[in-house]
Amino acid sequence: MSEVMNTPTGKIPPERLKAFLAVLQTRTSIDLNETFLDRLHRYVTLQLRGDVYQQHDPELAAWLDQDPGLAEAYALLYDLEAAVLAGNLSNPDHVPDPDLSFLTASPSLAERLAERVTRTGRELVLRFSEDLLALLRPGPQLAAGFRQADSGRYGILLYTLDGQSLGDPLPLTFNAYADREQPDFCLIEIEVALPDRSWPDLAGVVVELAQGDRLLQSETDAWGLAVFENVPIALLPETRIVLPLN
Amino acid sequence: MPVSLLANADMESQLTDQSPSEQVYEACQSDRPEVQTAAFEILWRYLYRVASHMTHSQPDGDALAQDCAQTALVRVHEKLAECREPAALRSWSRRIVSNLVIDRLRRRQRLQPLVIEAQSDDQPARQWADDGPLPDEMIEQLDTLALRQLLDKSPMSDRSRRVVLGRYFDGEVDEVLAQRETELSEKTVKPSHIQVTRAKNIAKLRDWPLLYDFLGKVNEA
Repeated sequence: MSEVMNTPTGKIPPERLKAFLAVLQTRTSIDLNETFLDRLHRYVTLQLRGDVYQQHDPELAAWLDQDPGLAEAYALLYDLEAAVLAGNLSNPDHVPDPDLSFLTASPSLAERLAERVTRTGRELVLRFSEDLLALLRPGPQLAAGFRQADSGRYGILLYTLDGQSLGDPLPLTFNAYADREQPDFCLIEIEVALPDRSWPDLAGVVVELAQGDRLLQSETDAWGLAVFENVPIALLPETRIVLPLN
Repeated sequence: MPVSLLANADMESQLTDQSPSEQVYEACQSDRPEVQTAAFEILWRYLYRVASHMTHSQPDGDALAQDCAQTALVRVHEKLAECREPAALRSWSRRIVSNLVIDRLRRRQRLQPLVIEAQSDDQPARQWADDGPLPDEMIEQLDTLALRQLLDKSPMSDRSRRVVLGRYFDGEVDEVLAQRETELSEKTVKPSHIQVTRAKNIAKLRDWPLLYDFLGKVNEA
């Protein structure tokens, strides 16, 4: 049974009135891109944790009142995460079979590298892509240690390519390690193996790493190792490595 | 050297829907096809449950859940290295599939902003955006009792009115409003229901001529 609201006589604080009028005046339609959805997920997480979520993100709180479609998207996420927390996720009577053909349909590493490596007389260029990176994830049995002393910081291997072990060898080994202190960044090690040079004459080879407009250079040490720090992980699919061949 | 969470022999049989995420994560990268397949089948069932939970009220909910879960499964496979914490595999993949469902529903116009029709040819829907905000001194002098009394006559249900005014006039959070509505109706009302109700009714108020006229008179005073 609904109740008729008794009209309180108290004055409404001006800041609340202002907020009410502002939300009435603004008709919003938010583009629910991935970045915005991450923000919505955070809002829901804070809410379910009992935090003062509307104060953490007052802008989003206002948008939720201004855009009914956004409010419905929020409600879907809230209801889902609340169910997960409560252990009440749907348990459908029937679950169809998945299509797992993608597990075996991927091109081989050699095929993918053939598309992404170019060689001239002077240099080798390796261009990464999402597809190639997907093939460079290490298997669980691979060692995760980092060569230098600070193995705690760079203990997780993200991607690895042993160019020397390929049927059509590449003169490099590539490893990317997650940076525990900066989760969005990685450290890249490139070990160069030029045919006409060996230890200790592997030093001084200038390896270039390009990501969009950003160009980094690093010289190899006596073991032929070039190191690049603070490399954004999100830009790895756009990364290009240039290695001089003489 | 990381220790494998799966014993070498009989890895496949060790994997169940209750296996820890780290174990499933490791199996997803296994060189043994049967182990990898078992891992992705576990993820599939989880992703389908999540998608189904979100789409069950849609007319084609099962098909939509299957479509979104399948797309999400491929995406999980492609982007597995972006899951920085193997222990968070399920929550990470849940985010992927829930984002897909929301995107799909938006594209299908199932999560549309409310479109307010004009009241009549003589009273086109009001557009507030060009009017600009009321000056602070006008807000200070606004007769809030008159405003509340006017809103009592607005085209909102009693619950909608309580939800809108409870938030903006009384500063109450949705958890409190939801609890109150639950007690009043003796049915569970979630904070998410409160939010959707408020957004839809603010959209109605936005085009309510009497409110527009009331605030217009305040601005002219």
